[in-house]
Amino acid sequence: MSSLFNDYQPGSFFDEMFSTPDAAREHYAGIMGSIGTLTPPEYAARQRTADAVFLRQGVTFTVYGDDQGTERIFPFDLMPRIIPHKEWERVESGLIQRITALNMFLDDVYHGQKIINDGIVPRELVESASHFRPEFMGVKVPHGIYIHICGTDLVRDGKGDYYVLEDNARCPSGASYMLENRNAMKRTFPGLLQSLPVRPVDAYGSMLRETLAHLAPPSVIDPNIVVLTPGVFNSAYFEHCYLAKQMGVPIVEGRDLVLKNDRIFMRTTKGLKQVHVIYRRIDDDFLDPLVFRKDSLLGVPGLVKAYQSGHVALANSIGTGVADDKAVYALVPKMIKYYLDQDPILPNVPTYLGVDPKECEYILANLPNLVVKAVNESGGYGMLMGPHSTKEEQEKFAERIRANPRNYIAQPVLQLSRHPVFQGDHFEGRHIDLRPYVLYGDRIHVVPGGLTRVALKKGSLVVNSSQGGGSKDTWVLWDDQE
Amino acid sequence: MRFRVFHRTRYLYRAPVRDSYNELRLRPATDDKSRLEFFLLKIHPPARLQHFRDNWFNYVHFFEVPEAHTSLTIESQSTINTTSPYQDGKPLGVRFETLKTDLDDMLQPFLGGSKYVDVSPEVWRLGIDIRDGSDHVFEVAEAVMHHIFREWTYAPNSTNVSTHMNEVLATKRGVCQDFAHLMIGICRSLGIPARYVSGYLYNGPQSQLRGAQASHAWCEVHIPGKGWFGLDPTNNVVADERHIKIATGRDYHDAAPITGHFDGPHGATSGLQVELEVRRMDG
Repeated sequence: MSSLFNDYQPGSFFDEMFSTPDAAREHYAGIMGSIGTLTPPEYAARQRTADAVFLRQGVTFTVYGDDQGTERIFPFDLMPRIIPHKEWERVESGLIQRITALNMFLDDVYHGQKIINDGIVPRELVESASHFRPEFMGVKVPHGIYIHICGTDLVRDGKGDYYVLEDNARCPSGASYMLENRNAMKRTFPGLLQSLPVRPVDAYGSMLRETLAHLAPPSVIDPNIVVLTPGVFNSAYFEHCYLAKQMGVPIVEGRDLVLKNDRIFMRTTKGLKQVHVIYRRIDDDFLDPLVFRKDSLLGVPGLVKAYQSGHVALANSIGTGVADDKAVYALVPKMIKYYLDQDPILPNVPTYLGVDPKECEYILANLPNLVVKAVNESGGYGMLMGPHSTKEEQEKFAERIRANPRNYIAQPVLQLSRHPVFQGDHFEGRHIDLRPYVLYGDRIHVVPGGLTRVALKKGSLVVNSSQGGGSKDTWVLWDDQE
Repeated sequence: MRFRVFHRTRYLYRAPVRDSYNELRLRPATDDKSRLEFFLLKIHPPARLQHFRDNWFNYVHFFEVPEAHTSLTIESQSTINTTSPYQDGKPLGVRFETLKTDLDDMLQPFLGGSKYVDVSPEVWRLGIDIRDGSDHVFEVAEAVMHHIFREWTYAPNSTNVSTHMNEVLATKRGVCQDFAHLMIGICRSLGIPARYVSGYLYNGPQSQLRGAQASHAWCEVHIPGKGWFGLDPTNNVVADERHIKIATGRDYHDAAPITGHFDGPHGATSGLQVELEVRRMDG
C-alpha cells in the first residue's frame, strides 16, 4: 500500500477504486503499481503539471448566470477512472440498444406515430414537449437517423449497478474534454499509457468526421463539412473549435453561411463554396429565424428549407429534443420493448412524472427525499436536490411544480459511486458519473470511455461543469484474452 | 470462437407498397454449444417488433408496416460465442439398426418429404450407391456429403430460393441451400433423420470457404443416442464452431431468414441489397 492512499476512506459508498480501505480493485492494479507508488508531494507536483497543460491549451468553459462571466478552467483530477473490459461491453451494448430505440422513436414520432397510436406513449406527453417540432412532421431525414451524436449520462448506485440518468440528444458537449484529459494524462506521465492495456480515444475526431460524411447527399463524393457555432460567447466555443480542428473542417457562424437555390454556401476568400453537412452546435430555436425564433441572429435564414430539400444535412437533426425530454425519458424502457422486443440492458433511474396526478402528489409529499428536475433544462440548472435543500427552497419548488406539473420530474436520490480525488495533499472520495459518446453513422460506435465528471464539492451529487464539477480521464481496458 | 455479426437487408420498391407483413429468423440460436451475448434487430420504417417460437422452436420476430413505403431495411447485430459440437470427436460406429429402435416421434417430420425435399426412388437409388453396404450412420452421412461436394457444381445464380431438390438432383448444380436440400433428401431416403440449418459461416481472412458472403445453410443428421450433428456439403466439412446456427426445420421453408408479403403493384421490388459481415473477436 503506497503512502498516497494511506488515509483514504472509501466510506459506505460504492468506491470505483477501492473495494475496502486497503484493497484496490483488480483493474486498478496497473495504476497502483505506477502512479500509486508516488509520494504525496511527488503526486501533487504531477497534478500541478497537468493543470498547467490545461491552462496553456486554453481548455475553458463559461458559466452562465455568473457575473464574473469569464472563462474558467475545467478542473481536472489526475487519477484516472478505470472500467474493466467486461463491464464496458455491457455498457456499450446498453448504449447501442438505447440509441437505436431513441432514433426509431424519433422517426416514428415524426412519421407514422405508431407508438402513440398503439397507446404506449401518450400523445399529450409528446406534443407538450417543448422540443417537439410539429413543423417537422413527415420530413425525410438522411438514412432515417435523427441522433448522430449522443451523450448519455450514466451513474452507478451503491451496489455498483449502472443506470441511465439522462440522454443528451440535442448538442451533447464535453467530447473535447475527454480528448484533452487523455492528452494531459499522456503529457504528465509519458509512456504510462503505452505500458497499460488502455483503449485509445483519439480516433474520435476521425470517427465524428466519418459519421457526418455518411449524412451527405449520396451524389457527393467529397462532402464539405462544417461546424456551426453560435460564436465566441458560447460556453462551449472552445469545444467547437477543438472538434473542427480534430476533424480538419471549417468552423463557421450563421453569418458565414448563405442560402441560394435551396442550397447552403459558405463565404470564403475565394467566393462561395457549397456546404453538404453541418455539425450544428446551435439549438433548434436559433437555427433558422424564418422557422423558429424570429429574433435569432445566430442561425441561417432558409436553412430548414435547404435541409428539407435534402441538399444539406444537419447533425443532429431537428426536433431530437423530444427524445431527451426528461418526462419522455421515463418511457424509454417501453420504447426499447416496443421497437426492439427487448428489455433495457441499462435501466433507467425510477422516475416520477409531474404530469401524472398521482405521481405529482407523491413528489410534493416527498420533496426532501427526491431530486426534482425541470424537464427542459440541462446542465444542472433548474434542479432541487431534496436532502440538501432548505425548507424555503422546497416550498418555492412545490409552488412551481403545482403551477406547471408537466415541467417537472422527480427521482430518488441515488448513492452515486465515488472515486478518489486529490485534494491538495491527500485523496478524498467524490461522487462521479460517466458520459460516454455514441456516434451513429452507417453503424453505431461507442467511444471506449467518455467523460467522467466529478462533483468536487464534498458530499455534492451535482457533477455538471456549470455547477463546479471537474473531470477525470476515463480508461477502458482491453480484454486480457484478446 | 467469438463473433460479431452485422447483417443488413434492404428492399427497394419502384412504387410505394403498403401492408407489409414479415417474419424474421435472424436471431442466432442459443444452446449448450453457443451463447448469444448480444442481439439487436432494427427495422426501418420503425414498427413494433414482436416474437413467437415456431414448431421447431426457432425464435421468430414479426412486424408489420401498414403505411406506404418505398424501402424496407432489416438490420441485425449479434455477438455470439460458439464451441464445436465435435469437441468429443465424431459420433462414429453407431449402427443403422439403432435408427429403428431409437425412433422418437419428434424425429418423424425429418424422415419424409417436405416442401423442397422429396424422398423419391431416384434419390433412394443414389443413397444406396453412396451407402455402399456400410452399416454406420454418421460415416454414411459423411459419405453423402463428400459425394455431393465432389459431383455437384457450386454455381451461384444457377438456382433461386424456391428451387426444389429434384431440380438440383437433375442439373447437378446449385448453392448451399440446394446442397443442403439434396443431402437431406438422400439421408432421409436411407432412414437417417435430417434437417435444414440456416445460419452464418465465418470465412476467416485467408479461408476459401464458400457461402460467407450471404447467409449460409447446411444440414444436420440425427445420430441415435448422440443428438444432432451438422455437416456442410457446400464446403465438405463438419459444421464446427465457425458455423453460427440461427434456425432449423424440415427445409428452407421452415428456416428462411426473411419471409413476408406486401401489397403493391406487380414487380414493385426494384432492388435487394445485402450486407453481411462476420468478424472474429478473439484470436
